[in-house]
Amino acid sequence: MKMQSLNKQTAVLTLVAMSAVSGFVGCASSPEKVKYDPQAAERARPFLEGHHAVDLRLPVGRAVLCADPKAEGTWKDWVAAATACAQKEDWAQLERMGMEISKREVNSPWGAYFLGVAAAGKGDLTRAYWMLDLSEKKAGGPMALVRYERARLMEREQGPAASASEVAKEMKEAIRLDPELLPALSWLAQVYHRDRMLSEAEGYYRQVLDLKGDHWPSLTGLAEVAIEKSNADEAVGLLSKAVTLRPEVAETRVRLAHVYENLKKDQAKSLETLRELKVAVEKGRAKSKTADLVSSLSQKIRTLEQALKAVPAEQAKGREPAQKKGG
Amino acid sequence: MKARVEKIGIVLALKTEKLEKAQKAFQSAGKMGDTSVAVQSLAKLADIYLDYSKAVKGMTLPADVPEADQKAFQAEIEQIVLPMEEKGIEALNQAIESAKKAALLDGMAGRLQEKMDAVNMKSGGAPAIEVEAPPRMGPTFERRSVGLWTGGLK
Repeated sequence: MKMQSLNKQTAVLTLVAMSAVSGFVGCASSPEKVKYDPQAAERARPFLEGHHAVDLRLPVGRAVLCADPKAEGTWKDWVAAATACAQKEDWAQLERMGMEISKREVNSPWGAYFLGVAAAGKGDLTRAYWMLDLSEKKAGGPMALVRYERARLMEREQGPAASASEVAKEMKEAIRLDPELLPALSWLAQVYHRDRMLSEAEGYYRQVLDLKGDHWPSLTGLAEVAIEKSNADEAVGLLSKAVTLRPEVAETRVRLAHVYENLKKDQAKSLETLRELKVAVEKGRAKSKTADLVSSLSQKIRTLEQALKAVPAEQAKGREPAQKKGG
Repeated sequence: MKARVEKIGIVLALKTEKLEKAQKAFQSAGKMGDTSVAVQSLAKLADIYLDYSKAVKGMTLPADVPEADQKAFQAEIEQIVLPMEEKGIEALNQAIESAKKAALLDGMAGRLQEKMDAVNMKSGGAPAIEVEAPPRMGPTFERRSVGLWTGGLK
């Protein structure tokens, strides 16, 4: 009985959605063309107040099941349950929840939003874009989460080798709407860094680290920018922090040793760093993605040892006349 | 021996002819008005200049050619190779700058910069920058706490 009414609802909602977004149905439609209804914004306000985005890769703290909330459950309980379904990647259940939210709260953008996420999960990108556009129509304006989700879908659709400029536009819009949308900032930092647009990358890395000082990819990313700009002290600080956070990553210590040797001209410190890494590798506390990094470690240590042995000999030679004088 | 020396002349003429043809094709493609195509054309242009210089540099005279002639030959080769290498680096530089200016963000500028670093024998051992796919996000009405999922809703 309930399912039958749901099927009817599906048909009705689909028709409503079709009329609402007519003119720009299809993949990655242009949300700039959308004229938002200020009255819709007013109606949606209670459903949007106080919400923000969370990373669904992170573990759930308080158990919320991907299941219908209790009979007395509020729309927030439904949104929480739908979020749990998105986290669980249970697209059929999420679609059902999206329909239910749309039915219960006509003015809420969350029903259409979850329908969009469910469609994307099922691989129906046309419907996903369409539903996401509808959720913004219902919100009466752009939503950070929707822009972010659109950007994710575009990125997935185009593949990593395609031009990311359109995706970047959406990500920037998402950040404009929610300046604390960390994954969007991190993604932009990496995309600009990949193309060696260092000032832009640095700006985004710093924004991430302002929000989350222990964000490892941004620590190592910003360290590389600092190395490129020959900013040795900052590179040492960032890499040292990255080593503390993830001591098992051999590459970070190799980079730190590189900075000591080449930028700070401190071979002793570089040697110390590599020796520590060698011990860590031998004890299984650190490993590298590539086998040649570990094999070249001993050779590098020997080279540094020889270079450091040569230095005191040179210094002793330099001291000879003074000693003779004194003697 | 004379025949072998003449063969080098023929090979050089053929390579130069092919280089000119490819150069014209890439220059025309670069003027088509598409930024992405223009960047790729400049990158390919750089490739052909650098490949040409490498190939010409690798040409050797038979070992029985007198030393004086060997030296004269090498000097001639250098005369051909150096401007070509410079052209290659210039085209590569232009490709990098164009890619950055257009903000294509497709990784091309980074790949070209790596090539430039290799040409300049600049190897800092920098790791390749990997772009992580953006993770799935969801809404919550709980108090914001970056990096920690604070559970469901109240």
